Amino acid sequence: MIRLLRDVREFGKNRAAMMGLIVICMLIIIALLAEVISPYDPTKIILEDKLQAPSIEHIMGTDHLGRDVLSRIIYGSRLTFQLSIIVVTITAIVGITVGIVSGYYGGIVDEILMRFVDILLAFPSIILALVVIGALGPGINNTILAISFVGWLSYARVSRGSTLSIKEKEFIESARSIGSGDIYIIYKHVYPNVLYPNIVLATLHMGSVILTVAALGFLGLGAQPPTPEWGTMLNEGKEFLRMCPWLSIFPGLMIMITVLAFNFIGDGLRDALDPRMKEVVIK
Amino acid sequence: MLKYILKRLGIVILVVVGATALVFFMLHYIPGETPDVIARYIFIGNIEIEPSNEDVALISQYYDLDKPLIVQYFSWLSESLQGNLGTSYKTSQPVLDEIVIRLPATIKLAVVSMLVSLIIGIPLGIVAAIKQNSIIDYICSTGAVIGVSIPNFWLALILIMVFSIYLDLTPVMGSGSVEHLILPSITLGTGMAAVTARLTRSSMLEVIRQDYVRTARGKGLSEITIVGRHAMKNALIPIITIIGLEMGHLLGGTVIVETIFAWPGIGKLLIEAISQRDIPLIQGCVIFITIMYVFVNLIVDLSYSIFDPRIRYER
Repeated sequence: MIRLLRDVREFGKNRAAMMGLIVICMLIIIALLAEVISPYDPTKIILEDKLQAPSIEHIMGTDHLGRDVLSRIIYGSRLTFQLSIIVVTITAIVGITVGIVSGYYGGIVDEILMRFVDILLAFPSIILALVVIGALGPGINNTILAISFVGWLSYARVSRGSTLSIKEKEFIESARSIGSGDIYIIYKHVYPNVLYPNIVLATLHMGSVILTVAALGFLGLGAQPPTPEWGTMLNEGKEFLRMCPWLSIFPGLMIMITVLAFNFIGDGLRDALDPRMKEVVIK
Repeated sequence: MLKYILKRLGIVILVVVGATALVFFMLHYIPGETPDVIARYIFIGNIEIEPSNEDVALISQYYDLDKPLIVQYFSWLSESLQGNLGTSYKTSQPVLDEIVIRLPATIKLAVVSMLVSLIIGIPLGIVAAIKQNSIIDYICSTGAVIGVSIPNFWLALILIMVFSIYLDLTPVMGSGSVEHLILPSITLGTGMAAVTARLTRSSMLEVIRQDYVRTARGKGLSEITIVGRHAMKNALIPIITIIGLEMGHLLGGTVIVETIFAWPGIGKLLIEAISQRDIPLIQGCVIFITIMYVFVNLIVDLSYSIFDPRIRYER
């Protein structure tokens, strides 16, 4: 408890991280209140209003089908958060479980799981996501699958490492000597200790998931039109780069701000939770 | 040393075989890839028209689709070891030819981008380390976070907007001249420069605290000599690993950047293959990119032990 308080205070001193936290809270509120806040229907086509420059009526202008860019960005933030939270949750659960099982039991289980991880790590991560999309076809659900297929690796590695070092501690041995079962020991002693580094990882992972979702959308392989997804919006907008730059500027700006905020929070958490853990490398 | 190299090579080969198996089974265990659909692509070129039964039988025989998947995989593997990666559904060209034509473009882009990243990243990292906790250090570290947070496809669009459209300095897309290379390599290079600067800074900070640097300072050497002659040599060794680390970013990034700038490389080919569901071509591109990635990392690992004799791998 004292440790937690100290960590919170440490985190609060980091100005960049606090700013990131405020930005993310605001974005989440915007995403939750999308119906209330957004001035127009994000998918309603009004061809008379197409390609209008930013004005009082349309703060971020309109796209080639006359849809309000601001409204689409607001609904896009909802989609972005939904997708990235789903992906991060799935990958964290799978990765932490695999990592703990692998590290705790060792032996042949560890060997098989880690060789599988090695094989997946042989791919540049977006390439592996593209293989999944190539096999299953484009779309939001396949985007989730594709990114999750790659994302759990970092969690598994980090969790396995922490489990290996915790396994050797005396308190695990004493727990075993008083007759605790493996499941109990994992749940009660290993899991809480493994969680800390994974929190940092998950925050930084949010940023990289948002980038990948948008990248797939931009390549036309993620969310399909007319879904208001930031990457997909950029893909549609790039055709009008010369005449209507606002179609390309605003969605990208939103992606950058969101990712930046998560990265600041992640860095702040890392410094606060464990100053020794200086370089978490996200795959 | 030789033992270590052989051992690493063995692991790498196993990983590559595993990776090809994974890609093969993922791409072939899908509902879309039936002889019927392929026949529509190849013979008719129109997905709507029903192919004849003979065509379907011919296709299924030609692509071994009538055999079990595991048999298909091993016949594909033995064929690819002989340099035959299959035939594209779309263009009916050998996959290997399609890839080899585009390989130089991708390598050119990757190498130039890596240079951009090192030229920007290393000096920034060194300055940030020497002036630790100064305003320059602060700007550098914030800049590094911003650098990894900018989506490269967006950066590309902004660069096109500023340099091609408003200033009219560079061509928008295509390839051929040096000018065509400027924007794509800046797009890819700046994101990686952020990572480079970060790693250079931390590696430099470690070296600067060593005794021999203090000795050099004690001798009264100037700061420039200390950094340039003594600290830098050792600080730059870990930077070799950057090349391995960033290779993943780079090869993934080329996919996006090549598509935006219509740069005729493997990345663009892969995206086109995916949108046309040209399975042999997807497979060929992915496996080619993966092998490049794995082997560059192997070479980086091995060269690390040559540059830094303190590292001994024998066990």
